[in-house]
Amino acid sequence: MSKIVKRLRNINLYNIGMFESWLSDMAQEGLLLKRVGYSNCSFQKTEAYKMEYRIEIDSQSMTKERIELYQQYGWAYVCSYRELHIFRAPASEELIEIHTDLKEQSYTLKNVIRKLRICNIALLACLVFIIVDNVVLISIGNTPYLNLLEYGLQSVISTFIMIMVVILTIHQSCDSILLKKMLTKGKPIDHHANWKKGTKLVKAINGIAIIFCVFIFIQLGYQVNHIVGYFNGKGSYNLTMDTKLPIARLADIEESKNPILKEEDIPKKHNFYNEVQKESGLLVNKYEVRETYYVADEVWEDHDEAYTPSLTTNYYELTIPAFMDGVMKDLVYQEENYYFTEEYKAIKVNYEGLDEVYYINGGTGCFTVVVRKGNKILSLNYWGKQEYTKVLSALAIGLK
Amino acid sequence: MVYEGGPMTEAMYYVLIALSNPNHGYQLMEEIKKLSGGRIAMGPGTMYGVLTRMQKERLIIVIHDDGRRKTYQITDEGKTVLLQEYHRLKCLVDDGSYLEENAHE
Repeated sequence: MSKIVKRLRNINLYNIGMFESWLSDMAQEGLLLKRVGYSNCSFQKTEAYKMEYRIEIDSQSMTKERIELYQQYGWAYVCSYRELHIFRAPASEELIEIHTDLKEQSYTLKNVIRKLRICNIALLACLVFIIVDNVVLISIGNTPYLNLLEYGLQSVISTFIMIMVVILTIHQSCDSILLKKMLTKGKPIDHHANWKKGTKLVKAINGIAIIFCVFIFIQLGYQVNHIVGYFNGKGSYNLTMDTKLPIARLADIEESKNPILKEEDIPKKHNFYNEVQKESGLLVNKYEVRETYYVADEVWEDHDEAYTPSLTTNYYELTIPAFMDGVMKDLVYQEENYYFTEEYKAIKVNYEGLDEVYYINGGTGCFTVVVRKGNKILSLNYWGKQEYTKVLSALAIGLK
Repeated sequence: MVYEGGPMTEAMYYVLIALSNPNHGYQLMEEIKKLSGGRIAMGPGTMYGVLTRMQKERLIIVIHDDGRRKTYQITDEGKTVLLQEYHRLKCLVDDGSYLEENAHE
């Protein structure tokens, strides 16, 4: 059985002359077309042939009668791809062309052009919908950078891929319209056109699309890993006194004696009060750490209940430095507007060992600090008796 | 789809003439070659395109289909438009006949 060779098709489908010329050149290299695919063509490895290829454009499929009719004139049917039907014949001066009337040939394009036009409109409508959807998703809560880290990357990449598809389809549409105009004017197709000229744009678009696809697959890999992590306990697990994390722990902030980590009333697999959730992605590695103490022999200052300080840390380790300022701004904005009823004003403070610090006082026994050090940004919500400087001191040590 | 009139393509004109007698694809092309004194060797793509289009425009009909090949025949409507086209072409030739007279002088 002869060998099958695949070659990338870097020529626009409807650039008929160039496509035919490329197939003829392949035959001269000993590659006879077997099948046309979305991005490549399969060839059968044989000896070199001087072969002529002709491509018929017709939205209807090939009938047996039509194939036999062409065969009687030496044109053998090879394959079809979408509206393209490919024939070949050994090059000879006696060979009768498939089309001998250019005006009649131009009529065959009418249905295909209409179909491509409908396809373009549908794709453009999809693109507009996707863009609007992404803009809304990323603008929610007035925190675009945080939303981008959270859900945006995949949507942005898929939008770009969609744009590429639209450009390719419009390119195909333009080529078919130009072809029709050319035939109507009586200019025949150049079956031996220089196909190398027509490959640049398709190559560029294919290259960009491949890069985006790679990014999507990497991001999907992270998401699958996240789901698997949820089940195998690596992505979401309960916090213990010994868990080592690059953040501040309550033990470094509080001065309580004999604290214990608070448990839920009905024990579950995941303890809501003391839990670590880890999420990795192309743009960010993120932790959400919730920690709550229960101190039996100590009470709150304003009521008699047992003292239960808590600390919720959102930790972001960013890959792209350009996002740093935006994420910092969004986190401060989010914390300032955490409660719809009141707005708390963030105060910028300096603290040794930390690059940028904002302090937001949320009322009695409660505050938030948003901190940046290098490519790490953290927001810490604290409930308890200690001052924010104590939290910052513990964090500066933790981040080391 | 109805034929909108206007000048016919050469392929259309010859196919309509040749279909005065029922015929199928390959024989039809041979017939046209004979009719035109070997001047026209119609390609199979052109032939198939013309047959499909004229069938939609009801200028020809399929009178026999054995699954492998179809036999076509001109319709009355086809005969009318063919005659109109013949007269149009004759007028064109007549109007330019002085060219031939000048050529003899």
